Amino acid sequence: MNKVIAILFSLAALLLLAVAGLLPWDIVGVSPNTIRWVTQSEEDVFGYDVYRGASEAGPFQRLNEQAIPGGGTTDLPQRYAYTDDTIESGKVYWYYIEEVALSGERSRLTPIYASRPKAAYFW
Amino acid sequence: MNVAGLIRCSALILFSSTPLAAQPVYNIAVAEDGRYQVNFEEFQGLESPVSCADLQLYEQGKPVPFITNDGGDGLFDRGDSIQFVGRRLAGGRSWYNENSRHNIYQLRVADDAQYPSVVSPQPVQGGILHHLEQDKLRVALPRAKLPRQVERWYWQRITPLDDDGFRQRLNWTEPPEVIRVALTGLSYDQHATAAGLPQHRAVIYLDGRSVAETEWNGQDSITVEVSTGSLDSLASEGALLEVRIPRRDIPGTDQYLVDAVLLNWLELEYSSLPQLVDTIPSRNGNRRLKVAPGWLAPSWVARAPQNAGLAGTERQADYIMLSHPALIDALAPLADFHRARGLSVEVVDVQAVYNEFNHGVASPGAIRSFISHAWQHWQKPAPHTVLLAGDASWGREQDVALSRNLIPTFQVLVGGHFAASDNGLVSVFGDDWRPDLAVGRLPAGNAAELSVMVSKLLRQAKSSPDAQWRTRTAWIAGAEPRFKAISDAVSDLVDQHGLSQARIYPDASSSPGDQSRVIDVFDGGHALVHFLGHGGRFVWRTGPQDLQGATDLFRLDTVQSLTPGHPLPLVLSMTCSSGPFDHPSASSLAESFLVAPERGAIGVVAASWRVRASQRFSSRLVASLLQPGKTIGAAVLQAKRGERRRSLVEAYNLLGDPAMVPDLGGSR
Repeated sequence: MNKVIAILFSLAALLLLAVAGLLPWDIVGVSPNTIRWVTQSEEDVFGYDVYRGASEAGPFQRLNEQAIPGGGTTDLPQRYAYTDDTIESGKVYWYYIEEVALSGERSRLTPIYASRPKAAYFW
Repeated sequence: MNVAGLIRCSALILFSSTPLAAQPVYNIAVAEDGRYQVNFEEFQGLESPVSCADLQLYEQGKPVPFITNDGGDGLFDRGDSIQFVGRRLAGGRSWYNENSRHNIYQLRVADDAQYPSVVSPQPVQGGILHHLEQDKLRVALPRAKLPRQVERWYWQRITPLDDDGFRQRLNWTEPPEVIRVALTGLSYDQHATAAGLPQHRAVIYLDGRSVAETEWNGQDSITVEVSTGSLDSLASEGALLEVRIPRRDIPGTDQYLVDAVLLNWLELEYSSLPQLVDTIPSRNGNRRLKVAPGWLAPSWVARAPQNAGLAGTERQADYIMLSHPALIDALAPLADFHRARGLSVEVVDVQAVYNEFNHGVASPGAIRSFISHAWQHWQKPAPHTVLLAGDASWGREQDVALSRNLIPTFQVLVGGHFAASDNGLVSVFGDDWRPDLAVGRLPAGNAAELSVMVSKLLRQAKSSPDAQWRTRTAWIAGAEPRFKAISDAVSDLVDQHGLSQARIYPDASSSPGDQSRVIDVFDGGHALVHFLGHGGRFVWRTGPQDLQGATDLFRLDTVQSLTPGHPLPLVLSMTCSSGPFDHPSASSLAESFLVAPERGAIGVVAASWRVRASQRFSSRLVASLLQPGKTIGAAVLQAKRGERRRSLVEAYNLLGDPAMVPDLGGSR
């Protein structure tokens, strides 16, 4: 029994140290935000860009270096996902998806969505 | 034996001048250029022994040289084989044919063979060509200079997004003199033009070394030639060829340029090779083609149906039912029903059509030639209605058994993209694109599916729906005012005929109540269901597509939740893409209405690609359907013949039996 209590105390201490940023190694993480979207059909789509802002009003920055490849022209549903692993715990982020056409034209595909704040976790 | 030897021998063995109508005939399917061998045992049902002197081989109706390995006894028997140079089926503007993977060689057994005029092959003067091509992507290029004439199949899409671009290992015993790379533009980024940059830039590498760079614009096609003479130290056994599209940015911005390119084919050209074993003369004889080593086996060998006299003038039919041999038995009850109605019905094997109108090669053009012939040259009265009993597929499956392309259709460009269209199969008179006969399709992929469709049709036709049912129509429209306005105007037509109308006009966000009301339309019994609004392959919507499906009104899986029962409605699905019936694996809403047992619809008029809502077209269609005794097919024919927009005429197809009478308002 005493051993169990000691382990729990140790974990609690580690947690406090981690939150305070006093540990010499990084055992704190935040699960990423994953943005998913589905298109029912596409016409002349080159790809998609994911934009993120710290508030609904922006400013927004493109997250992906290269376009997320689109389905071109199709009447079949296409599923996409982008994982944002550059977030900080406890913060709300705002995202939207932009469609990039073969003509180079860019148009917003989605409204602006807010993410839920993520808590830090330990591993 | 090398090919040069083969040509010499075969020229001495046989070169008949005219094809003879002797039986039996075997179709030998060939996919690639090469040297083929077919063993006696593959000609199933061929009674042995056959005198080698009675064998003839034809391609496109012309005699082809071949060798009979008969062991020296002059008889074609067990253990023997024939050998010949087979050629791929070339397309009108492409290496491979757009409609069929297989060229057909026809082996005939004729005891009255005309013997032989010896032809000496001309020596080939040109170099040796090794063509490499894989048709993996079907792409329409609406911005090409001649969009209806550009190639439709490509090997790979290449963009800056791909880390490695296109990669292909090229093997050779000695380096070719020239390597050609055929590229076509897919994107057309206007930002590049505005910045004075080319829309495409491609770099070609051999073993990691840049050997060529090219720039061009739009959806044009180019061929890049790399002369290897200028390259030093090219490996003697082969090289890795890469095509990369470098990333470029729009000047003055943090945005990238959109650059997407299609790789079509590669060619290696040699002035000579140390051995000619693996080459054959090209069709026009001006060079040799490098082919796979050894003797190839054909894709399949099948006995052709007996000559049915389809190309003659003795036959007469009101109604032509064209079907695949695997489906003909399942179709028979429907043919019998229409004969009992007083129609003269011809059930025609599509393979017989290919044999009599296209030398055994499958193609929608052969079907049109047959229908045109029957319409013009068979005994009068001429056929007025055509049923296509079998599914279509644009897939390029190698294994014919897996293919759903039982009765092929035309691929037309609607709005710049491919749409399945049966319209051209019955557009047989004049040079316009309007249909001349009524046509409908039962898109069954196998006999079981066709039996379900036929069973529904016969149950409906043989039963007597009550008078009340025949007067009930339902009108469903998307949330946009224009859809409601068109729906109101068209439904007024049925009002004038005394038919009742249930109108379901949901708001922009579809509610479960709206979805239930649509299901009730089917379950509650309506003779006609007209939908006008946004839609797609799998869905009717109340508004444009959204990311949560909030506007979905009726989905593909909803068909299965309908209550089984009869009678079933005729559905006019006046929306985008709800009826493409030619996908190799995916279904569509219209197909699901037909194939669902005991539920769904008796027939569906639906578009195979994006179309505009048209009050005039819907009105013409409904007005025709209201004419007493008019068949569904004749009503669609009449509506199309009065339509001036080609996209509507070609994109809308009737899935169902065109000879059925809809009986709206009790006109039967």
